[in-house]
Amino acid sequence: MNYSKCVVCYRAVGWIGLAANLALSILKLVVGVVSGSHALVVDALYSGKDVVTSFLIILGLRLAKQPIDEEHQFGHGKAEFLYSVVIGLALIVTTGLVLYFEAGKLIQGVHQAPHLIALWTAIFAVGANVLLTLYTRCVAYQINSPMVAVLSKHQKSDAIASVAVALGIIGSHYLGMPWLDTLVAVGECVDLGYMGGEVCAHAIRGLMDASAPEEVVMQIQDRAGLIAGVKKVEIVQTRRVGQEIWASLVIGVDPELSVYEAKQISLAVEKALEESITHLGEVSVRFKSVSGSLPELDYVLREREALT
Amino acid sequence: MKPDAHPIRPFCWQEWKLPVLVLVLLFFGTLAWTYHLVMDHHVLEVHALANGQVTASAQQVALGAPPSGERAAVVNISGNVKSPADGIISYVTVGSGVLISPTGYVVTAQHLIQDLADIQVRVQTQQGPRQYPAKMVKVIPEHDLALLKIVSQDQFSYLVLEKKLVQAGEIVKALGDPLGTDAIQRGGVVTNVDLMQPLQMLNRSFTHLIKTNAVMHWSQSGGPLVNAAGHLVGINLAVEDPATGIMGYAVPAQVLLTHFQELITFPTKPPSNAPPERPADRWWKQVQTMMQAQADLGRHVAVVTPGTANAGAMVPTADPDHGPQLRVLGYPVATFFGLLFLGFVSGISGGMMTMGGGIIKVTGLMWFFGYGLLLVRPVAYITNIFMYGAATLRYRREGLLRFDLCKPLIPWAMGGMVFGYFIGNVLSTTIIQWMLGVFALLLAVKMLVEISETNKPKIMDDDELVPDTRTQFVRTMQHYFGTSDIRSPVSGEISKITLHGILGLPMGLISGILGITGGVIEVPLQRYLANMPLRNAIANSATLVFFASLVGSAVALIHGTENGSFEWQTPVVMAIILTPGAYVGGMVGAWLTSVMPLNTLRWVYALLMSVIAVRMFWI
Repeated sequence: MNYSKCVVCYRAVGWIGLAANLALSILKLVVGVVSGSHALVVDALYSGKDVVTSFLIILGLRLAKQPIDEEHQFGHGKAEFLYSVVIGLALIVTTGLVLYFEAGKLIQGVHQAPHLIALWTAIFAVGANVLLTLYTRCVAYQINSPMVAVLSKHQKSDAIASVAVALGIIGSHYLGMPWLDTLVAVGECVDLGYMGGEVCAHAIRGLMDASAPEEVVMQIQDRAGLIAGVKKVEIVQTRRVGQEIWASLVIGVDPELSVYEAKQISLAVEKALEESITHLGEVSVRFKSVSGSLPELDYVLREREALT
Repeated sequence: MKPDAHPIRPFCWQEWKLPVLVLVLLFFGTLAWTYHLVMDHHVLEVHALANGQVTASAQQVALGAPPSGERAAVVNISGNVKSPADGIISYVTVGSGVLISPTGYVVTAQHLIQDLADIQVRVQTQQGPRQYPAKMVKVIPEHDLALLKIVSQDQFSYLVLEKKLVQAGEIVKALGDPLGTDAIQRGGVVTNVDLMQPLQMLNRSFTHLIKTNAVMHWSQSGGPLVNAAGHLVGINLAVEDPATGIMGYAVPAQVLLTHFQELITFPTKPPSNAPPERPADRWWKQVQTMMQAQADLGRHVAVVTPGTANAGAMVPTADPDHGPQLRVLGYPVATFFGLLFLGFVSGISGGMMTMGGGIIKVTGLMWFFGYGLLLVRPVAYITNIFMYGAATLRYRREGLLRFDLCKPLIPWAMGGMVFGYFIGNVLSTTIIQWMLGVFALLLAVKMLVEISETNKPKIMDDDELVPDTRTQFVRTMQHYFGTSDIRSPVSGEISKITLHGILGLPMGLISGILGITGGVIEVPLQRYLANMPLRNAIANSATLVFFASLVGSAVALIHGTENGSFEWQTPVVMAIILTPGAYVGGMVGAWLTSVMPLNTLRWVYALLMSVIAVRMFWI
């Protein structure tokens, strides 16, 4: 948050997204039904999905502030995954039903171009979504919230979807292809279903304590290796908590160092990682004498003797 | 998930309030549109019910069978007349008219409507008699014809024009509608077709009339004369001759065709008896068919009989004056070049004196071409876009334009323009003519003042002051209308908003009501209140007119098309014809000022304006 005004957006972004997308989805649904545009009705689902996302932002920003308590010693990050799974499943089921209906319509082969109010509404939706994209992108950057960034991405895809709807209506009206509107509707259903699947998969991976993507792990490893005193980055373990990535590292340090000095190095690593890696949550860095060093060998030999 | 690597310019630093406001307004607009669509359909269903079995019998008793054929196209014309003697307004039925297109164009006799303050047309629709307001579109005094447009988007029954001139001895019938309920109808024959024989009536001489014994009654005046095929062959005129009683005449249909063709496309097929279809019906049917998909059934192949294809082609007429003729953009050649010339003259006036072009254009369209204000004002708005758009660009190049000062005035001008358009719609033609006359007078006075200014004693030497012999009146007039710079700052006491309103609103109102630019008011205002030098004031006024005309044209076109006053092409085409002449005229005018003595031009101009003023006030 670089500016004092950003506090306003931090509090308001969820509600703004909620209100705007609710209005948009109702408008699209009503106009879609009245004008007979299938694509616009499906487009209402896109906005409906953003209503839920905005709602999650409101909840999420509340949860984020909720302190770690006795019962939840690692925070409440996983709750978000649970919501996501529910939303993703709901999305898949809804679009599946609509897809069944729309595909039936498409195959049946009787098509009528929708009333032109649908075209106007689609164009209006594009404008509204572009504005919302710009707004949420700014908020996401300023308050550094991954959830808002997701909303921004969704608004952008909404705008693109509405462009598709508008093109479909133009095609069905002026180019003599009345089936185009229904085709766009089917295409949107498939896209939405795919999106729902992605949300689910992502959430389930998070719930299963999946590790961060390979490139993030490599990034962490490289950054930690650059800190003075780190001889070797021995182990990097990551897992997803909410939108954050929690990491625990083991670094190898010179065995001649005092514990105090080694602690300083590991603190430096934590600080550097927090500054350079995005979405990093809790980081814990432990240290040991670098593998291959003499004390390490002594330790290994002693272990072996104890075994035999 | 990945935030942008480079910092984004914060959203709230940019202009975001306006787009958001616009989007919110559009949102509610779209909802209103949807609501309208649904409600429109609802009303339609009620109508359908009213015509159904339940109430049909009652309607049969009250109104008889729904009108069909010629009867449905005959209308009754009435309106309020203000008595010149005591000023009492009374509602009178003046005669009949006939519908000649499905969009609601009515032809009637001009002498019937010339005294009406407002025109009401009573039509026998499928749902029973209904009264509509109508506006005058064009009059042709030399043939005693007037073209009215019913202000409505409904579809009407109509008569097809007979393209062949009616012959003596042909059996015809003349219809009229005296009360707006029952038509009177009388059969007869065409007794004489001598188009060149003059007839004296209404203090004028008329030619191109056919004589018939089918017309017998005053109420048939303006009504249709119909031949055996049911086609319109003429517009009735019942003329009372003190010696011989009522004489029946008719203006042949060819005359209508010639004079009104630029405004309407005459239908060649008679109307079907099917109830009129509204746009709302069409899409609702679409939705219904979509909801309950029905397969299309096959059709029989139609037999094409050779020779029937050109049945509707024009047969050469015996009337050389009103036969088929060369047309440019739908206008007869003479009218086309007349319009070009009118544009040219108004352009010269604008280029020479930088004002007055609008008055010449508007009065010319009414005076020489007989177009009604319904059409004239949108045409004037559109031409003003082009003319003052070009002028604004020129002034900007020359650095005369003070756009920073114009900017806050533009919304006021636009608002005034829209407001003025709607005021002008309800004002009667007489009042608008008077207002135009006032402006012409003002311009004439301004010219005289400018002439007097050049005659004022010159100061030859700094020490020797020649006594000022001007009277206080002349001095005041020169102060307001003259060309000398005014240095009297008064704007300090007025708040900014009020100042902007005073500077912008009157001009918008004048432009909106009259279709002229109102430079004669705006330029002194700018000089006096905003302390502008003369040339800057002129440049600023042109800019204001340009922006206001943009909005005015859009509003006039949308409103006019929506309520059925005209088809949007009509004013646009007319404006397109007027504009090039005006442009060339503007350049010629500017050149004239440099070659002719300025005072001669001013005298000519003052005279022209006085003539216009006299004409607007007394004729």
